[in-house]
Amino acid sequence: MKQLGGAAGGGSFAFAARGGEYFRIWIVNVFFTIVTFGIYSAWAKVRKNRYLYGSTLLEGAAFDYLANPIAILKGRLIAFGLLMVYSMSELISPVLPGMLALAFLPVLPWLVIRARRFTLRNTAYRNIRFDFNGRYGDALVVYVLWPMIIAFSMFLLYPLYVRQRAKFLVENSRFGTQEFAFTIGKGAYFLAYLKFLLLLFAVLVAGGVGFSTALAASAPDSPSALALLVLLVTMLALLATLSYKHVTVTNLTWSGIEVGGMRTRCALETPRMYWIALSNLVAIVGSVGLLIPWATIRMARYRVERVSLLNPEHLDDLLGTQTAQIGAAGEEIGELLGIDIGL
Amino acid sequence: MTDIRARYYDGRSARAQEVTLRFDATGHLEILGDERRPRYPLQALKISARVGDTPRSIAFPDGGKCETVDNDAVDAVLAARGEQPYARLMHRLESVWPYIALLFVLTLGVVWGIVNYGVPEIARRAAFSMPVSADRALARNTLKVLDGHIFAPSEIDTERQRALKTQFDDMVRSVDSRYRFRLAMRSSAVAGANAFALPDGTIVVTDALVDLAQRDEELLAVLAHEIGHVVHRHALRGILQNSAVALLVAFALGDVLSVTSLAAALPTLMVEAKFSRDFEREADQYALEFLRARRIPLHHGSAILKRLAARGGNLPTGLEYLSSHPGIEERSRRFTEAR
Repeated sequence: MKQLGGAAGGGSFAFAARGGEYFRIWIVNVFFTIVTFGIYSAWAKVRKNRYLYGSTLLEGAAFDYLANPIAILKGRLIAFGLLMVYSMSELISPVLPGMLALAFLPVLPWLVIRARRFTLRNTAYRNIRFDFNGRYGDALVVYVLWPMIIAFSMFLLYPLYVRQRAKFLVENSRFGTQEFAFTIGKGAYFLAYLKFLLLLFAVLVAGGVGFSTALAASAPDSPSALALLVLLVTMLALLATLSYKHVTVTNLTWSGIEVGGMRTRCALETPRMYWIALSNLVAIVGSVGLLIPWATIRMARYRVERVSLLNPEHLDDLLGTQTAQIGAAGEEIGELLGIDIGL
Repeated sequence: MTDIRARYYDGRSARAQEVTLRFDATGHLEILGDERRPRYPLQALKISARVGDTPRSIAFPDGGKCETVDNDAVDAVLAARGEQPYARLMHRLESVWPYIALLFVLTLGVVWGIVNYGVPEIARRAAFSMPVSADRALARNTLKVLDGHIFAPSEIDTERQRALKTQFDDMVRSVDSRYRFRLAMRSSAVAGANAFALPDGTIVVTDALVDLAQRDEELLAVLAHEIGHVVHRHALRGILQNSAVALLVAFALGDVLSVTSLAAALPTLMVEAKFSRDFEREADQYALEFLRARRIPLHHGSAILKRLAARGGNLPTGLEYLSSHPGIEERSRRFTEAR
């Protein structure tokens, strides 16, 4: 897997990271982050991403993460300061946090664009950088206007919103001089969410009927072991349904990206994804967090290796261009506030 | 002389060219391939620091770049010329298991120190450097909200209420005058036998607690405990401590897993519960000294604690680490053993 040569049969992504290797990098990162009271976290982030990107191979060539830790540190300090101001504002006046949150709304689209641009400009493949040039107006529609429409449509238009978001993020991305195109239509998204809703409904009905039947059969005030078992199975089935939704939507989005005559394809499978997610959770909790790196690599490997690229021979035709550097405040604020960019 | 197999990318197109990199004894690099390329001194190159066994990149001044998997050969060239000492040290730290074990133990030790001493001490200093108006701001509207939801007016007869309030006023006369202490008596179905302190000095006592007490001294012990929470500024310190821990968790783990996930929530909860237990101990200590100064026998403190425990509410053994209060045995022992 380390071999850089041998493009034959290519077109698929490979992930060369190893759990043990990443564990050591992770421990060193955590140690320095803690003894420097978080300052090292910027360097840790770069090191972690360099490992993960560098382990992601397409046609035998690795991806590159090029972000400058100092830029990330500055971004984190700004984000930290803003969060402090926000949490202290309640002491001054009880309405201030709400007003600040409202004032934050028009900043959100700008934040998304800056965050995306920072990540993509610092991602390179074969010595060519990615870039993002989404416009503020478009981002405002997608990230502020659309959520309001969703609320008014009682979530009926939610699939459209998810597609709109993916389209915005993909079509404003570039690799060198090449722009990306997004090719999945609205119908496919509606269909995916319809299937999910039907499945969810079926699980809820089956679980509800099963549980109440088992409950009726057991003694009053003490649910039988059978009833509890039905409840547990229903919970697991609900989680599986969520996993199904995640897999279908991810597959859809990542199968619709076109660039320079090539096209991505993503073929995640629900049972496998569900198994990895569930066993990862058990492993992390059971090991008091020690298995986090192993779980991260395991999940990343599955995700990366299920993506492929059709007509990879066109890779050689892609052309590079110059890009300028950009600050990391947008990305770091977004990360600290847990903003979901949604790709 | 070292030969390294690599792929060359000129930065203008994504096409790869197979080349051989040859480092000579003078520290110069030659790129051998289909095209003729300039010879560079080592100092002119930007060689990426090694991370695990991921491919290494060597960037040239003209914007071209090479990618190679032969990390060891690149390291040998760098080591021979004394280049990148820190990057090589980092990789060495990350490669040797005994170092990893050592760093792991050190990490645990540092975390333990921060949680036990660092954060509480910094929060204490920060809280006591803030004006008392900050505590009052925290409590604004709190009683009003609680009155609307879980509290109803007290059903204890007014005579007894007045007597208790007089005792309370008498009690707080000697305490810090910056707080506006007042006793609020309420009945509540959900709160049970309970007492709360709001950071502005309002102490809420439920009817069930008043009924539970067999002597007024027992109530005084509970009230003193709640006054302890106020003068030690536990509400403000709690907010500072908990947000510090949330931030630390976000920085330490945020890069490896989403902060909202269960794996990050559990340690945060345990640390917050530990802080809460420490505050309870501090408030108990305050009550103890208060009773002692008034020459009230300390066993009244443990008596009411035991009676409260008998009504349930204590977590089963083994779950102490998630509890917001120390075990009842420990708390009442402090009252019985103190002299």
